[in-house]
Amino acid sequence: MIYSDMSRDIRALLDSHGIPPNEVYLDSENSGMVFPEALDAMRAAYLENGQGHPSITHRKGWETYETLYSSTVELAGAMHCRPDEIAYTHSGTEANNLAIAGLARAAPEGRKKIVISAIEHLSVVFPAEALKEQGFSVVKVPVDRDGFVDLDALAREVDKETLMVSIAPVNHEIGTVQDTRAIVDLVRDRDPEIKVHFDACDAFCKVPLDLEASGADLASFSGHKIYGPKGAGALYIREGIEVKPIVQGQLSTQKLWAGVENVPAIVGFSTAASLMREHAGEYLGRMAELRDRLIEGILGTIDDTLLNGPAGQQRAPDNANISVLYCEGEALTIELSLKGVYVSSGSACTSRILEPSHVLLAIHRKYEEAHGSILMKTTPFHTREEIAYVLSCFPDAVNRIRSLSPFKKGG
Amino acid sequence: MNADIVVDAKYKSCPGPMIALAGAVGKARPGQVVKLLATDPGAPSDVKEWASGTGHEFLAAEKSGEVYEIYVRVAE
Repeated sequence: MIYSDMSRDIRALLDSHGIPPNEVYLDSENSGMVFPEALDAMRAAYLENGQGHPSITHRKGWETYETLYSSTVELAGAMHCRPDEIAYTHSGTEANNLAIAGLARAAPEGRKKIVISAIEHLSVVFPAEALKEQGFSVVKVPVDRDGFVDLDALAREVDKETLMVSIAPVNHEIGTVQDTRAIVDLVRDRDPEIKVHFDACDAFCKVPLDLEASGADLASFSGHKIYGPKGAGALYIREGIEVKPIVQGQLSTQKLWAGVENVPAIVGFSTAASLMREHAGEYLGRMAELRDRLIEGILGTIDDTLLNGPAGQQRAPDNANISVLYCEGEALTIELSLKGVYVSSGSACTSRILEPSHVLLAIHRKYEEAHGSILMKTTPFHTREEIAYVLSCFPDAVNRIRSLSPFKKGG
Repeated sequence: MNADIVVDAKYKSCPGPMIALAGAVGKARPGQVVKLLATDPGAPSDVKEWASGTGHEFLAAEKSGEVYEIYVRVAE
């Protein structure tokens, strides 16, 4: 008997899981929680001041243009740049693709080398590698065991053929906060014509980031990473830097991304940025405290666990990434889910193989260490009680998965 | 291994195989064996954990070429 009924099957999967009495969502790496204020602002944009198409010449269009521009001014304030240096996309992934492929399309003769770090997000890695078909070369600069870029190796790789250097100020997976000043200075010293791109999706509103002062030429942003909605991304392009569009179609106010802007999502994005800016001390302090409770609670109570990435001030305030040895990370996410704790694993089916994270392999984690990694991100919404619940669930969950795991201690 | 029900989830990425299996298990009678065909590399470990966490019995996962054949006995 062979059958399929997708809607009924999805419901069956949810019913088999059930609704746990307590739920704590720690997977804002993949999809974020949203500030209620951002939702309120989006609702107003949908129903009142953002209904129109911002480049159409009638009142509703002009209202929407005003709404869009107000949001852009807010975001520019938070990013420390000018409003006309922001180009909207619909995600951080799109912004990274535009930065790399769009800059490559405008590359001068003889500049065919792209330099990235070994731990960049796949939305940087894949568009860079795709450019090999057009004669570009891609160099991945190694990092140390905490994920810091090897500056000597970077200096060796950057040369007169280099088009751009792309490095995330904060790594999305292990939270490493790079010394961006040193990176920019090094690149500028080698050749001031080389463009520097920051994938700033995980840095924005989490660590100090002043685009004007940083020296970056391009920087990518994502709404949902700062507790705004999905569907809003942005690319900062310093005045004078040429980037060509990679998506073709009818243009609106955005000259580099065809199609109508998702104005309500941009409004939610800017509202979230304003809230994070206004309450930075309170929110970031709480996130870091809860992060440390998670890390210390797990490392202190469960044997054979390792922190991935640096500790303390050199780590993003929200990031807790821990390898649980003799455990399969994917299995542990399901076991924790059954208890109402929602996390992500460092393993992902990115190319039809269950591959351990390239980030963890780059910081010299062994294959089995990388396979057992769990990524959790704290937010301004979490409480000490929720983190205590998470910690109460971990030991039993780990013991059960270890009892089922093919990876055995001493095996 | 013989199966009472075969679910074909080849070339579906996660969570497609889990969804297909959960649907089949939900329709099956207690004690029946459901065979899931999947190419998603995470399917064997996901099914193993889901089955044991929801009261079903994970029997085996075998690989034939690129296809995993995963067997689960429905809870009595």
